[in-house]
Amino acid sequence: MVSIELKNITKSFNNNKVIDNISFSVEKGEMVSILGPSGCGKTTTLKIIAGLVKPDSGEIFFNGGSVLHTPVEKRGGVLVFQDFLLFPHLNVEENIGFGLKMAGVKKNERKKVVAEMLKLVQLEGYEEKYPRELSGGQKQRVAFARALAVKPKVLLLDEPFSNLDTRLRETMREFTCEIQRKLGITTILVTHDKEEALMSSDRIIVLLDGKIKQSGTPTEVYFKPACLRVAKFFGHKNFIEGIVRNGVLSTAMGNYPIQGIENGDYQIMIRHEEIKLKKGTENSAGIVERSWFAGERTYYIVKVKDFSLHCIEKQNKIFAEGEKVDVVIDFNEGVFFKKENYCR
Amino acid sequence: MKVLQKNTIYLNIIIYSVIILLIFPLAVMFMWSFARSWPWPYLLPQDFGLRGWKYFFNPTSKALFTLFLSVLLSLIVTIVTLVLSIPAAKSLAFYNFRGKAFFEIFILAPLIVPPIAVAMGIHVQFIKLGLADSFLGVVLVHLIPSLPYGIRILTNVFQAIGEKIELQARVLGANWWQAFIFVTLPLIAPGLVSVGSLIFIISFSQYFLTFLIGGGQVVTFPMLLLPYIQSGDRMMAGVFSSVFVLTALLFFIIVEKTIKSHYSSREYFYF
Repeated sequence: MVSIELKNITKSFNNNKVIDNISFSVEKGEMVSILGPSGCGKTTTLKIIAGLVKPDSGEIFFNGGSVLHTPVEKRGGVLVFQDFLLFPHLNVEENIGFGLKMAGVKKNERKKVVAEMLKLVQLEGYEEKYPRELSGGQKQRVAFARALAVKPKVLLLDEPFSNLDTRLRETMREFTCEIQRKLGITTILVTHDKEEALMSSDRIIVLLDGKIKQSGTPTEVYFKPACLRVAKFFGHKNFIEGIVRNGVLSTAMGNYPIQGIENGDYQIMIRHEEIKLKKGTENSAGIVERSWFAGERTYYIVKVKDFSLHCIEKQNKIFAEGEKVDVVIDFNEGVFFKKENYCR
Repeated sequence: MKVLQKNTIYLNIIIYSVIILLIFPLAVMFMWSFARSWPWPYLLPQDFGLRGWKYFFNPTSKALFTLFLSVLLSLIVTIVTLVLSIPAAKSLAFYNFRGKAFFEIFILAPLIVPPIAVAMGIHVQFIKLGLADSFLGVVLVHLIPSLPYGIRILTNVFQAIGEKIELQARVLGANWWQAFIFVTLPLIAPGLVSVGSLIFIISFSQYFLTFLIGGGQVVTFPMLLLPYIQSGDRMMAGVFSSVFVLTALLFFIIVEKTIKSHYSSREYFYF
């Protein structure tokens, strides 16, 4: 188990900056997600930490010591790829024992560790099976067991769940988090799935266009996105332009009292669960444009003047499309972005 | 169900006709090796004899020794080709470097340019270097038609298995040669078998290049075979051709068996 620090890492491929001067650190035993859309440089970051890709500039520290010139096989960062990459010519036992065999561990010793690992991932009795005989979830477990068997300093997971179907993905996510917590192993998870990042990590690093836009706990990045693009990436859809003058917010929807915000022009983000709908009268400003019933909740798009607001309501409030509704927005709950925080 | 049966009957007819078509010439050739006289219009030889086979196994004819030498030569060519092709194919498959597109075409050049044109120039150089008329010279010149196939096919094999599986081995603590021996080599083994068989046949049946560079000093099996075909001694041609075919076949079977038995319980496909 180690702490990891990246300092001013930059990497270009064919004059195309994939990673632009990023720095972050991961504590001992912490589970950190690197979240970003595909092509934002997150897999490259993992490969740099593992030692498969050499950065153009910058430093990497494990427990404070530089590992920049340590070769892959000695660095101890084990990468689990998206497509598991089990060795097709080896059976489960040989796959899990592979790293130990390379390290020169004796056969009896290997057998013991393999048995231990199989127990950990609940696949006892699968020693003789070949990868082609395993289901997706089982392959994933073997891949984990194989990575864990070498007692890695840091576990690097590259979109480990995206090849699994939805239900299996949830099970495997819980399973992985549980093992990670049990072993207290430093883990970096790379994903483009915001829910996966929110649910499984202690901290989230949001990476856009090779730059770190925000880093914080799941609640921080969800409730207080640092800029407009991070907010949009987390699926926030309601953005309203407004001007604040002496405690009054003026928007195209009307004027609202506001506290603790200095004067200026803003884009205000309202989370869809923050907008409350009430049964309206003839004079109500809102009209339900679309609605999607999703069981425990219903999604609405409500038109207020020129704005289309996305809202979520619990199941006890059901409005028909075309119905007039009163829209209650508490702008004090909104996130105010100044122009310089749009980060386009 | 009926339709299915009917289809399998048609399918069987096609399969067996193809097999017969392929085997028939070989059968005729084999019969010729025993035929003392086989005049037109008879369907089968009229008189049988063992002159051809007796001559073949007679030590003074040196036919067996030549066969041994030929197999040895082709084996060396095959191994050298594979050893050179593996790193070349790997770099063409996985890495980007300056002039890669040029190299890709350049490697195929021996297949496009007639070998005679190349060999003429090489012959002059080999004479200067003292490589003409030598076993080593013949091995080297056999690499010309072999390497394009070796590199081209192995490039595709490497592309099929992908680069990541070796990276996975590296990440798990294997250094580069461990990753190669324990992961890459077993995965490309089926590819090596097919390429190796092909190279062996290319080298084994090479007549012109051996003749030119070997200068009559290095005598291979096709060089014994050809004069009999040219002079119309069909019995001898039958004997030597049969041995030629059987040698190649035997080589295939041995290679397939040794590699396959090693992986028989571990059947897998490129993925």
